[in-house]
Amino acid sequence: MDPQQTVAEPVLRSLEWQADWPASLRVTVALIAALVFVMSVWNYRTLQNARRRWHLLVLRGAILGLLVAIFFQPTFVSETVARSKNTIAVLVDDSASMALPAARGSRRESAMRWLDAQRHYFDTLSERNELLFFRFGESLMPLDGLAIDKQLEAKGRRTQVLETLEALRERLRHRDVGGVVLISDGIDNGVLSDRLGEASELDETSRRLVASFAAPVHTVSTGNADVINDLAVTRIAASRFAFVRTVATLEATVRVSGYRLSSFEQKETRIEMRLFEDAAPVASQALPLSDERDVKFTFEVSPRSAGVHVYSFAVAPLEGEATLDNNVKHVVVRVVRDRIRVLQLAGHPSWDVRFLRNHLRNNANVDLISFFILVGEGSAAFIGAGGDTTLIPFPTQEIFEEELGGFDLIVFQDFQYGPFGVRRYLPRLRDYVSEGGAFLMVGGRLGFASGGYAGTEIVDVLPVAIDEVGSPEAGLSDDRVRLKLTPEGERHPVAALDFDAAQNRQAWSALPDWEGYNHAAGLQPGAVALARSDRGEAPIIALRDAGKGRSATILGDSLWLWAMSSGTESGDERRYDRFVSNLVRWLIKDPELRLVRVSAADETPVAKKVTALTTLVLKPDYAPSPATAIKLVIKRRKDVPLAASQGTPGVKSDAPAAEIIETPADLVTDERGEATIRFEPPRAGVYEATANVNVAGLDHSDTLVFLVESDDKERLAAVPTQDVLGAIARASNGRAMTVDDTDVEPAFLEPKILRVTAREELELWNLPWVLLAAVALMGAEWWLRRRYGFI
Amino acid sequence: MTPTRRDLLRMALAAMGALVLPESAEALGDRTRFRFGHLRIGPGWDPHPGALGTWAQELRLRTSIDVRIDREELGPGDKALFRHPFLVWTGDRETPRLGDRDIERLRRVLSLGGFLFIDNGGRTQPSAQFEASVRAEVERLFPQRPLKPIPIDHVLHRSFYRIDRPLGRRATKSQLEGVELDRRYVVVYSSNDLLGAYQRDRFGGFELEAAPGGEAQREQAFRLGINLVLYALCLDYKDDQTHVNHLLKKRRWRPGSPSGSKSPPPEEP
Repeated sequence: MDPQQTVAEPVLRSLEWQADWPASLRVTVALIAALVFVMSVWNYRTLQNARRRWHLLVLRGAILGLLVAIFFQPTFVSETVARSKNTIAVLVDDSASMALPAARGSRRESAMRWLDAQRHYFDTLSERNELLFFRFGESLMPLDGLAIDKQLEAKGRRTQVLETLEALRERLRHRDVGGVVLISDGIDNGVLSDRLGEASELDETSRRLVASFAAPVHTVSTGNADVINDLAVTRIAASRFAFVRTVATLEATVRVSGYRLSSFEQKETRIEMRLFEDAAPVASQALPLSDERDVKFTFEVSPRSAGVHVYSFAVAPLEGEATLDNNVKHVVVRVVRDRIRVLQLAGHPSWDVRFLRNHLRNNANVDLISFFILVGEGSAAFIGAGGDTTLIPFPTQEIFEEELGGFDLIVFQDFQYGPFGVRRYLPRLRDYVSEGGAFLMVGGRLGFASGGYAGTEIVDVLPVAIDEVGSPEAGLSDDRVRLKLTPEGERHPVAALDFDAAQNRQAWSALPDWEGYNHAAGLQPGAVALARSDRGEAPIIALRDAGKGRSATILGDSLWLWAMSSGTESGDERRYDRFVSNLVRWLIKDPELRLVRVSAADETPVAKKVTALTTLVLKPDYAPSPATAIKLVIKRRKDVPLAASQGTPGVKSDAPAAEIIETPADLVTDERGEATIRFEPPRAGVYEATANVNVAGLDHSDTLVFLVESDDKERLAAVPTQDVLGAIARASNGRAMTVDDTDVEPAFLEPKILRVTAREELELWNLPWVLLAAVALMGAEWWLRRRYGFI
Repeated sequence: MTPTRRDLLRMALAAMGALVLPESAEALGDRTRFRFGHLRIGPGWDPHPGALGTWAQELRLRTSIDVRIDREELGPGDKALFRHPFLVWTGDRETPRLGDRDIERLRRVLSLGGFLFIDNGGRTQPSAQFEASVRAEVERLFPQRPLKPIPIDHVLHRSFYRIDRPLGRRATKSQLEGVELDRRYVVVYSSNDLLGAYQRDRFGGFELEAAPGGEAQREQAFRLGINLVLYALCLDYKDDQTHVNHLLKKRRWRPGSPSGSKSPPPEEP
């Protein structure tokens, strides 16, 4: 394109003073001329005849004026000029969404029809304006204006309107812009849509960019939302973080395009939305189809564990949808722990109960609710009459039916379920543990076999098995024993009374005797005993991972002696508190206790873009563990199902299937205890990275769930959800049109730049007649001065 | 004093219990059961023999606490103090000054979780000499924390029974006195001879008259005794119970439930 294209204009004439004397010289000459004239006036004052005086002064003034004028070199200039053509840019959206249907044919075809309809107008414009054609999507590419149709492919993976305008601005930086025409379906997935949000006008930065063209930006919209049938999950509102076992609200908006009650089938049509947590179904809702464009779904969830969770919203497709790629949307929520909510049920007051309650009450991170059974079965006859007690009924139903799931840890401390109607709730308690809860059973004369727990459902999740016994006493041993730390106990964080292994063994050996214990029938599969009795090898303290939750048992009620015995010379008053604190943190899966931690460099990586996954391994004393082998497995979870019949919440199913993506080999930690790999997710979805490590002889693992976003934003939107084109037109005083506006001729600015094509100069001060005039004037003055007697 | 029908029932049950249920039958290690630790301080340290046994018996009958009837006699410097967190110090006359080491050990027991009940067992009226001794030793135990009246609305007075006045055999003073440490009373002193109300004669009747309220006052004394032990074992548990409904529903954990605290509200990502 020749930027020198011009349009001829008429000749311009002007008078110029071309002397380039310094300003000081000019002032001096003017002053001298003025002085001479003043002196002349003074000199001629003696002349009585005013008329003669006037003659002489006029001549003297004319001479001086002519000389000064010659000094300043007047020149007569004659220029022939021409006006340059300005540039009009026509941008055509070439993204993948332009292949979707419009009222007639595809959006791309409707754009071409509009351009064809404007062909005559554009030809007229080209006489005074230079027309440049471009296609855009992810980038701006020039088009041959004569063969636009053949060059448009409608395959661009993104539509970045603002970025396109920035690129155009750069290209036309040195040109006079007469206007821009932007033809698009209005679906932007670049910066502009993020900035526009719910607003109808551009933000300040975008407005400045549009205004920098100093010309109107007209827009032509091809998208017609009513033509497309589509359901799209467009927005999700969720807090970036939530608390464990506390209700969090998630909202999803579904944009309904095309489907209208009047045109759709008469049977009741419902929009079904399902919510998934880490690809597992958790809830569903259905709302009737109406003429509302946006349908909002609100879900409440109560996360069971801390960490990063991916919530997915999937709307079941209706018949004839333009695309299903936008029927699912995900959000990442970081779940943290609020205060630990502990329920302590004690079968009777005792020192063991008292010390545990005191420890939990003094922990600022614990919200404790205790219920103590204060009276025995035969106590009523002796308590006294008149309602003088402060006893309250044990709220069995309230605890076990209504509020059970709201606790992070449940403690049965020498608690016998029989008299309180709790038997029927033991299956519920088992499920609470399996689904992520924490349970601690502390013994005494009413616990374990003596409390009739043998054969109950709660045993399914306990670390120890319980045998039936013939009498409560048969479930007890009154032997005084010493506790031996097991090999597993020596390495386990719960049993760490001291970080130094030798000191820890010493601390355990200095503990007071264990005064009797409950019998157990051995460890359950997967359980670990931290300490056993020196006689009989009874598993006095045992732990277990049960399903998604954890449980622990303490066979006996002597733990409180650890607190009081610290008053002796060999005692350490922190032992009891340290042990109980370790135990509680382990039971609720305090993330800080993990010895293996997997993290991702990006909170939400993008498909086909490399991100980093780091595994940190710590030793039992929480120092970094170098040169430790890691087995890392990265999987991609199966996509959440869209069909309404699949993934029904509440129906037990296996864990979502996952496809193994990568298993890096020879992964070993460095001196900081870290091992990092570069990972390129092949496509969007929910992924999990699980690291398995053996630390000090015990297996530890951690799983990170993370969301990978699609790099192809174009597939996610079928209809525009924002008035991007209208906002741009308004910000630039342009016109917002549609492809149906074929007889509208948008206005553009006239070219502003003039170019001089020819120039002629006539130096008036250099003409012979000017010199003759000066001589004539001087001669006339001499003659009159002589005649008037001044010479 | 003529025993009441309730007294006779208690005696009969106690006898039957002794025959049918050997004390050790319920034991899971005797040393973890609740047992009074009686301090032997000075010559008049046990003005009411057997009273602690009666107190223990009432605990066993009225509550679910697993109690040993027999007391443990302890010198103030015994290491076994740490295994008997509920200590009782009684007297009816001046007591000797305790050694520094004894004071140190006693202080340690109480700081770690122990509880000391001091009862003025003066025969006809509170022993001024005993009280003076007590105040002096308490001052050594916890300097600058003298015995102060315990408010009647304190949870100690409703840890099991609702008590308007903490009476013993006497009704001399209307308030107990105590030393508070870390939001709990570690020492409680009664001038009203609580154990005097519990002492029985060899026929099983009560040795001393409760005045001026008679048997109704004695019942109040038993209730105070129950409350003291329940307080030592449960601390401020009863304070929480007044808010139990609120505490139970404090966290809104179940989707769809109306009240309680929630996670932060949703925001656009």
